[in-house]
Amino acid sequence: MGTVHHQFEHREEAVEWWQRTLQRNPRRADIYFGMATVAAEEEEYEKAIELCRKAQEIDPDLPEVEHRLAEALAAMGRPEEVIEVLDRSDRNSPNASEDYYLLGQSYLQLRQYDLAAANYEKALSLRPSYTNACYGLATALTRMKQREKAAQYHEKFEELRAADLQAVKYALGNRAKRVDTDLDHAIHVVAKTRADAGQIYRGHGWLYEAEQHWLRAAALDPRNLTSRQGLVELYRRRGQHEEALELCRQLTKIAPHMALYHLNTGVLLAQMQRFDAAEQSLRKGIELAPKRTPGYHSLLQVLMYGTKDFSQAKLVAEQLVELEPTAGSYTILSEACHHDNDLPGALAAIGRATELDPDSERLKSVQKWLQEEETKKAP
Amino acid sequence: MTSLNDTAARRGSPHNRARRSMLLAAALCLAAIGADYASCAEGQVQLHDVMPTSGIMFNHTDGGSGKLYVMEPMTGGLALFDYDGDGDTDIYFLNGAPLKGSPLRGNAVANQPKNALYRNDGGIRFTDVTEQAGVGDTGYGLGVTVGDYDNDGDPDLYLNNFGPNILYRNNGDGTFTDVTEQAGVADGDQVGAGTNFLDIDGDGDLDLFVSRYLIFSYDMEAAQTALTGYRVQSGPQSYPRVGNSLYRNNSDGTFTDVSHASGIRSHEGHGMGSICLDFDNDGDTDICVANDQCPNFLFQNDGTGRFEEVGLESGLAYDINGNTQASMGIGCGDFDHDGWLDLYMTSYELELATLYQNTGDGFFDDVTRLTRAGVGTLERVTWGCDFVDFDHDGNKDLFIACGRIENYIKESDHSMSYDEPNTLLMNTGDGQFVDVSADCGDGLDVNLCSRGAAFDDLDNDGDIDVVILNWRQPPTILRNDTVSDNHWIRIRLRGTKTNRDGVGAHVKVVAGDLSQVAEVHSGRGYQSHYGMDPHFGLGKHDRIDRIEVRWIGGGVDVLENLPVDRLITITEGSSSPTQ
Repeated sequence: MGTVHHQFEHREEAVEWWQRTLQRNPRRADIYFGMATVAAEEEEYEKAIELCRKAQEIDPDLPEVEHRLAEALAAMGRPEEVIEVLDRSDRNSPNASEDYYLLGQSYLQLRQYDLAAANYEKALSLRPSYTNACYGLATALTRMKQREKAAQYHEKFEELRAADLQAVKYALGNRAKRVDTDLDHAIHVVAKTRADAGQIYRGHGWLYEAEQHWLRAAALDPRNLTSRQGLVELYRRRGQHEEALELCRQLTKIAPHMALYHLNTGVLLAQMQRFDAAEQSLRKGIELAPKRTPGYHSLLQVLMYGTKDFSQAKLVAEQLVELEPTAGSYTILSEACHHDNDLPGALAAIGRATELDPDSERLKSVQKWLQEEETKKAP
Repeated sequence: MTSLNDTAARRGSPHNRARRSMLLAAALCLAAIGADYASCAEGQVQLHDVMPTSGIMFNHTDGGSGKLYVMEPMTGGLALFDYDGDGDTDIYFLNGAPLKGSPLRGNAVANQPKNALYRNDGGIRFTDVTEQAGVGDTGYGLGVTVGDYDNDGDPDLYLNNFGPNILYRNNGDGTFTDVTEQAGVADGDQVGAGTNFLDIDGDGDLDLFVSRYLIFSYDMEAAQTALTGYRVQSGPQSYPRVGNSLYRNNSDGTFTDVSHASGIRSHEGHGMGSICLDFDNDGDTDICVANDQCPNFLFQNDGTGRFEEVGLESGLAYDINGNTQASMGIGCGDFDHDGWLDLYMTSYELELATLYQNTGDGFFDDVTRLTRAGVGTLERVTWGCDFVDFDHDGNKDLFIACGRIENYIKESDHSMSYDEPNTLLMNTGDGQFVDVSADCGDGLDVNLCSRGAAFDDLDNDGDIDVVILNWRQPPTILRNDTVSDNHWIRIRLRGTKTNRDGVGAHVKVVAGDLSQVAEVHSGRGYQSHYGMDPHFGLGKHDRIDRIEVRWIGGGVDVLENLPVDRLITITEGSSSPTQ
């Protein structure tokens, strides 16, 4: 209900409903995100920042939170923090071009014009008709005294602006189409409500009711993500892998930029022993979110126990320790090296692991075993 | 009639005794009734509504007939100036005039709405002297400026109307004569906006810039139906853009139209507020025009009166996102003490009023978000504005006049109000502004539909008061009753080789580690005029180390080791002030 109220701009009512939801389940990151959105709409940016951070704390993978957080920080005139937030981000959200634009704006305000220009250029590469980014780039280039290039982008900016104005006029001149738009909007809202209802039922363990709501939401709105995500999880647990896989495919088609959906597909394919396809999906997920480690872990499982491609496993494990230099990661690298017949590599890695976790008896025993292996192989 | 007494603000003077009494009263107030400390605290700006006792009876009309013509909500500005040279600040209010279809149209002239001149009798008491002064123009007033165009020692008045404009020459005896025709500055039959006197070519007399809003005729559709179902004024985009005008003073009481020759007319927009400033510190005066829903103009002067439009390159044409704004008024001041004049532009609802920081290398950065200078403006339509140091702490604060334009706003959106309170943002001195509107006394509780705002010392007590023209309502007079031990200086310039009032002169005041600059501007804010004597808060500094005046044309006068808390006059070529 909160979502429905919000869709119709009844913000106060939306927040009331969401607060009731939080009383029942205070771990609903999406609710905090919704409330952050309302706070930002009402220019209560400090509150929006706080709520976004709360949502992130509960679910670091919740889509769009980083973007909303960055927007609120930008509105508060805190460009350094915008950069901090977006630099952490993998830019795999649907708002990637906007994120680059926000970075451009932040660097521009900090007068780091080269970095501003680089980010505006990235935003424009993703969305060539991005008028604001084009203006930002022209501004950064002007400040860098690259007058000729700046003039080109100023010219392009004026062209884009003219096109935007034309589009607005066209939209205003086609009010009759509003009826269709309203219907689409209503369907979208109902689907979202059904999807949210499904989550509530799942939260209370009423899985059949949850499934029915999700199925209805997915049927109503071919782009509804929440319902499909819920169904994937439900079917995977029930062992209905083919159904889950179909929904995973739909998710990757609807939101091809979302690393999570590719990674989930990969894990599911691995469970179904389809290792080559699993490797492909996992690699795609890693490509989209290169700084997030769960994808590397899953891929290592596939490479070492599925395709048994140890040389690749060693390469992936090396990437993992760079991102996450923990005893666990070095242990995996050690194992991959060992499988790849790289005993010195395996020993070096396990040595580093024992340094990081000197109290682990298990690591010490593995290290001892590898040392014995080396002694045996010595001429 | 009270001139600013040179002893008035010395320590131990009646003014300071009065201030100490107020401090005592404030302390008693706290002790007796436990009042909110913030409302009585020393240094907290206090603006009190003294309109009811001011003697001002003016009531604005927009001349509307229900047709919702585009200029109706745009009127208008006001002027603060000492028309009779008696040492205190008088007020000139612009008024609308009956538009086509108005029931007032065709009435006898005596019954027409007209502009009004109020003489300051001291103590913020005013007398209507419109008739005896002869300045009751019945044209449709939009913009006004003041300048001594004939260098005879008294201020003249120029009105930028919908319809022919008016130049009133001050006769020096409390009366004015309409000299528009012989001066040649009627500017056709246009929809006017801001207007300014400036010396474009450093020849010692004041030339005239006239901004225009749009091309209008009564046969154009005036109103349209909004999505809410209510009829609203068509925006400027529904009308053709128009170029502005520039008139060169021939030094013989006449002007020559140099709009084309100067490069000004080559650019068309929807002009509103305008200000003439030396943004690049090269010694000549440039022109900035706030345009409504199209890019703002910055005309850079080459020193000879030829201008190049550099709004886009300088970063002033658009906000930081590259969006045009419905720019309304322009405030000008050095908010960050870097020696370069910054600009503040008001705008429409859902747009932030924007602070453009002059970076000193030909560019302006939109620092609205960084400085929080747009707080509270997003949901309002904002008009008159300027940088004013209300508490004399040496930092220029921002006053913003607010008011909607839609007649039916409340019916179509219950969360909206047709009348809005004005806004005061305090400059904290570290590059940030804080909204203190709720703590500034009853003056900021006034909920009307403001347009032009003007700032000057009405009661000669050293601090800056506020006069606001409200659309279709009486004006607002806010007396500054801030209790503070901070010091101040007001500087009146007298040109001898350059124009008489020093318009365009650049003043730098250094007191200890506090360095500030200002310029003398004719025409500023939202289509208004005020503040011919640059005013500086000095904080706790009780001596001024140095005042440097750079006159138009490059002459520099330097004065050192000066007392504070007074109005001084600096005459061009002199090394000591008069008081």
